[in-house]
Amino acid sequence: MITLNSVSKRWGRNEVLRDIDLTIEEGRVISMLGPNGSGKSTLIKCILNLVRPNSGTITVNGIPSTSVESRKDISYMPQVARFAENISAIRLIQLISDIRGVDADPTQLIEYFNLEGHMSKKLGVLSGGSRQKVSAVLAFLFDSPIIILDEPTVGLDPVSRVNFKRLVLEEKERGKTIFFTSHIMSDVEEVADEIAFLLEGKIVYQGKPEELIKSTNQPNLEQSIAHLLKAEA
Amino acid sequence: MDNLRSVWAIAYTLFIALSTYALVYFTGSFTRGVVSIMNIIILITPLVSTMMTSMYFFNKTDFLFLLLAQPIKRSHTFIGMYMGIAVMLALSVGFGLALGMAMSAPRIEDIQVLLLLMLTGVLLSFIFSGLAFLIAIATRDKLRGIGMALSLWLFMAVIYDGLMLMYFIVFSEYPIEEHAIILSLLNPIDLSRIFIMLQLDVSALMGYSGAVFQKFFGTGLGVGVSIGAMLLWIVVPQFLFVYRARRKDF
Repeated sequence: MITLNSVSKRWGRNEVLRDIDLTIEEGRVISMLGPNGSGKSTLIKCILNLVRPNSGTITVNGIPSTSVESRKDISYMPQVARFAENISAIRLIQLISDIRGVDADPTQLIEYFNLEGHMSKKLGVLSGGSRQKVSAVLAFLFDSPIIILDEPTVGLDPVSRVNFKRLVLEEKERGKTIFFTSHIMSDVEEVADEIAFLLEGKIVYQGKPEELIKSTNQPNLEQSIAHLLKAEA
Repeated sequence: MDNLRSVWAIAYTLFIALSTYALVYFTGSFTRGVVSIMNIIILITPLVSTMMTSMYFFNKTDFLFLLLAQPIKRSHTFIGMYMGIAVMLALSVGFGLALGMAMSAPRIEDIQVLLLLMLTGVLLSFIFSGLAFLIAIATRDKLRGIGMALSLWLFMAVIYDGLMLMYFIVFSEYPIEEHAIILSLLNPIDLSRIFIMLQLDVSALMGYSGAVFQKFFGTGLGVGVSIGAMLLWIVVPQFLFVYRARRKDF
């Protein structure tokens, strides 16, 4: 479980996160939505201790996020899959495995994402989509109880996107906690148990997607979000 | 290991090797060419170390997000990155010098000079990689970071000596020997030049600061002081960049 209590973050004069209270329950798939610049990636980075909040506390399974221990339970897929260009994909996986002290076999995930012919190539020569798939392999490889994904399906081909969503649902069935950001509403509707909508640094809606659709009287989540944005404007 | 396979590392090694070979060829022996080779090492090594470390750091910013999200201390991540690039640069200088010397049919007495230059090159690689890392950690903007790193090299390699010379000329009537020593300690390029000069029989090329070093410390202690100061130039920036890295938002 991840708990954020009164978390605020300011970049200069720009208040990116304003008094955020959020609980990401165990075994749930929660999607963080919001327009560009609303603070989604900053919130994820606060959980991972990449960014230090100006105030508030964040705990991961009861452990403060500032502790290295808190990240043992988390696997992360960054928004931009840019890695060291002069090493191969398989070498990157070995590197991260060594850092985590886990000897995990990536074969099944490599086959799942059709990366068999790419693993020995240098990451610098792989396409953006292939690097994204390598990033996805890293996110699911270590059987972490918490998986954090920042816009995971961007750059994936349609087949990989379908496989990715199927994998998220399989991991959810295994009791994993999955927290992801996305702009693609169809993906959110298919996999998320709950959504949190972030607008100008504040969570303006948190709950089930179907409840939001019902309360806004719209045909789908995308139009519900648009309705919410118009109402908040 | 992956840094060693970089095209730039190989190109740097070959540049050092070919420069060394050419200078030995034109001067007739390694020992006679050592002053010219020294000038290449003390000017080019800091420049290449500074620039390659800066570009390496800024090109790896997105990869850093993945690394820092792992259960590993920030200090370990950054020291690992620093050692990776600094060792690559040091090995490139070392192998380049050795290769250049090997190509020029060396004599036994040249080995000591080679080791001296290699040590200097290694120390300067670590020093200027650390300084470039410190600058890169402190800035967000890639262009500004690389510009600051380049300015640091320019200041230490060129401008500093000019300012020192002006100081010595203006205050030549006063007892400024201690000032000369302190000013030399504050520039690792000057330190490395003094370190080499103290061990070679080239007292005519020592310059004012080198002569003062020898007078104050003697040759043996002077070598020890210059190495000790260069080691401080490696360690102190490391402490500072780890301190800064622990507090930085990524």
